[in-house]
Amino acid sequence: MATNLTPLEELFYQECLKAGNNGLTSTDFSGIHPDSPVMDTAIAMNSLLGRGFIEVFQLRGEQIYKALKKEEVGKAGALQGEEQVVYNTIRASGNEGIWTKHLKSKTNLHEAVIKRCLRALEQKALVKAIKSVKHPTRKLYMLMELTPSVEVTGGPWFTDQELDVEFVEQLTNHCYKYILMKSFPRDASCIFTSTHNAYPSAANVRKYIMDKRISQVDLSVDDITMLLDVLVYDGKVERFIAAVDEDWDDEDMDTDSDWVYKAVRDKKAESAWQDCPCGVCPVADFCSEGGPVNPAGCNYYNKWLDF
Amino acid sequence: MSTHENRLCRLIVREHFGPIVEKVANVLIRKGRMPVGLIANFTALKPRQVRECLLVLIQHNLVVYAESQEKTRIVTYYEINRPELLHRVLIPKVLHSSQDWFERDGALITQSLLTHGKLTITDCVADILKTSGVAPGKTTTQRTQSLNKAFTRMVKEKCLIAVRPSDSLTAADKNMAEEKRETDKMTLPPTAAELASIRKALGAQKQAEQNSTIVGLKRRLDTMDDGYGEKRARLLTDGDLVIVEEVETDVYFKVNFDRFIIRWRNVQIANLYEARLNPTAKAIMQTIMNLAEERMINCKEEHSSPVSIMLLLNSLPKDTNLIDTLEFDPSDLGPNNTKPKIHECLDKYVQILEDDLMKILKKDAGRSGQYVINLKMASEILKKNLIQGIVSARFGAPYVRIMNMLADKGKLEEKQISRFSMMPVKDVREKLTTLCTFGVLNLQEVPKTKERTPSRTYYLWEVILSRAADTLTDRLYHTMGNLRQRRFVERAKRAVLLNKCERTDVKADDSLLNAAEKKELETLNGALEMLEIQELRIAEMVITLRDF
Repeated sequence: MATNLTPLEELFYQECLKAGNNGLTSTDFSGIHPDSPVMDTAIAMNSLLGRGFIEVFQLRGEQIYKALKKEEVGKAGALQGEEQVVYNTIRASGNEGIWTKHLKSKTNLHEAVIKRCLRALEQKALVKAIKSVKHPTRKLYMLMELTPSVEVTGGPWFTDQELDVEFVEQLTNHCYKYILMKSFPRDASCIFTSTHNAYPSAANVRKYIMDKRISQVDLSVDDITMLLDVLVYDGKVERFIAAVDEDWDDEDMDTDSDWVYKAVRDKKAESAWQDCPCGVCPVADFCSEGGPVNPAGCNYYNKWLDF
Repeated sequence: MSTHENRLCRLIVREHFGPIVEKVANVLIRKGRMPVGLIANFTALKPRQVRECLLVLIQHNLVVYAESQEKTRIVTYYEINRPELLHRVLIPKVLHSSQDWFERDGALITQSLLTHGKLTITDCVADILKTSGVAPGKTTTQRTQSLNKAFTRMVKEKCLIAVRPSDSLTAADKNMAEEKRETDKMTLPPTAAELASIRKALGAQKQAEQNSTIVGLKRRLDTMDDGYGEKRARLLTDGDLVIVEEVETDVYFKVNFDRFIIRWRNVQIANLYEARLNPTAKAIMQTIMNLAEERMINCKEEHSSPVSIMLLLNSLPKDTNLIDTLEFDPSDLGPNNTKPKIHECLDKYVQILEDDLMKILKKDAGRSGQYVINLKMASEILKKNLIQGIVSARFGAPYVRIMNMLADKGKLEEKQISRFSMMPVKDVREKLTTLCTFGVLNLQEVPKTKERTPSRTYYLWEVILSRAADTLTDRLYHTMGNLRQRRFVERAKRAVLLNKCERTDVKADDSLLNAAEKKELETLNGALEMLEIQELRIAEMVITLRDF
């Protein structure tokens, strides 16, 4: 419960709480309690603001007051003006975090002031600094208790802000094996006809990965789709849109994409060029008939022909 | 036209025709077309020698000429026929293929034609009889007959093509002369539109001419002869007479490299399906290509002629198993679980081939039951596979991933590439620059501001297939030139030994060479073999990138 608030402040605070997320404008308040004098209301509002019970927003030229919850009141109330402003701006950025430069432009405070405030807030364990994955040189600040959003950390592929290449490779291999199993019949010399439609989609692959508990991190269908795209670019898997059945609307499959995946069994194109020294020669561009590097005296050739 | 290509052309001429012809060819290759006097000037040879060299080259279809009126006299310009010259590296493969398709007779015919450039049928047969003689138990007439038969067959399949005197003129001059004839008929000079329509009409005329009767074949009536009549012609019997197709005896023929390249390309297209689907699919595809092959003139066409499915059913090789190699959905098999009949299986196979993501086979728009092959798409896929193979073998799998992604998605920035391919940006940047210097990638700068400061421009990377193919072809020419030159050097190093081997007494008796010399000879032969084979393999890569 609020401590040592005047009755008017108490009343104002209750009205703000009741108004919930929409907030309360001063006109609303005077509409509900027409008997409170305007000056006193203004003093009450200022005091509540100063003590951190409510916060003010500007919307379409009007000022709206929102009540803060008890826990937040305790912490923020003890802050000085500038720190409070900084704290509020950081809180407003939610779990995306805010960069110091943006903080500066939003609060219009001097850089040194902001630095001081941030240090103080960190000391009080109210905000923390995190590194973004997209902009590694930026320091983002957010409230201590929030977890960073997926955008900032990069999702399941990043551990400690670094791309976990082995993890990705492992996963892609498993996905490929599963798709390969489903793409061709057991007898290796046969192939499916074109009406065969049991090729796996991204959702099927995800289910398989989840069931086999191959990854500790929970992966969404989008994550799996990214992995499958990597397989497509590697040339190991093809994707196409499956034939849609007539009784389509009562399926609970994902309707945003109808891609199914089929493994590709193409023969790897062998390159004859690499077999001769010129294909792998580091100075191939420099080599010419009469120059210092020429085919007649080439050492790589000597070694190659000396089998 | 690049340095490497010129060098390779020169080395080919040197190996096949000797150093004097090499000098003349060198001048023509590097400096373009010129008359005899100018060539004599550049090469410091006498005009008579120059004329003899040019004669040799014209005989082998490597040089063409053009006559133009300059003031009072007619000047003849000579020009190198580059494609024909570059095809000469493929001679070993051509000989091998003629033996595969036309048996030993075919190989002998091809060999003699390549030795002499162009020959009539009688001269060719006479030449073969002279060099290879007649097997015991057979008479000369029988041998002549079998050779004639093989020759006729090769002409009909267009592996040998007739040479007319006009073929020795440059193509550009011929086109210009025809245009001039057309425009002379008009009283006023032609407008751009009329000129365009004349050119189109002439092009269509040429196309029709190539598709119609084969030049050099004539038909005549003949009494039924053993082993000489044609199966088709037998339908037109008139009493005892048969129409027989024969090669005219006074027409010169030469080896048609284009036809060989077309067939090799068809085999490669069919091979695409072998691992991807199964060998039966490959056999079906090969049959389709064989049926459509007749009308293919060169590798640059977009679509083949249509093939009907009935014809396909009848032409499949006897041992293709259609039924057992398909895995059917239980719903297709019907209540008795019986496997469908052959033509239904073929239908299903054709359906699979059509649905395959390479999109090479497709239905002919106008008529039902006919299928067309999209040759342009097929050749693009072959080129892309080859380039992927080169990049993968030389650099590694991540590079191939980037290349595929750019080929698929168009122009991308490095940040997007890093996100899609799941590689860190630093890595991606390095790989992009390596691929660009290699020639596979292209960079497009899009500036954000008026001044092109690097920090404020977008750099977009992309893959342009034709440019990548050209750059790689150039590098391959360089390698081929190196291999060829190394062969000369190896032979030159052991010139003394080789001279000794050429002596008639040594040829007769092997023991005049001591052990060290024999070992040296073996090393030489081994080295030459490796170099030759390597060059041939790279030449195959070049035709995929350049001609397909």
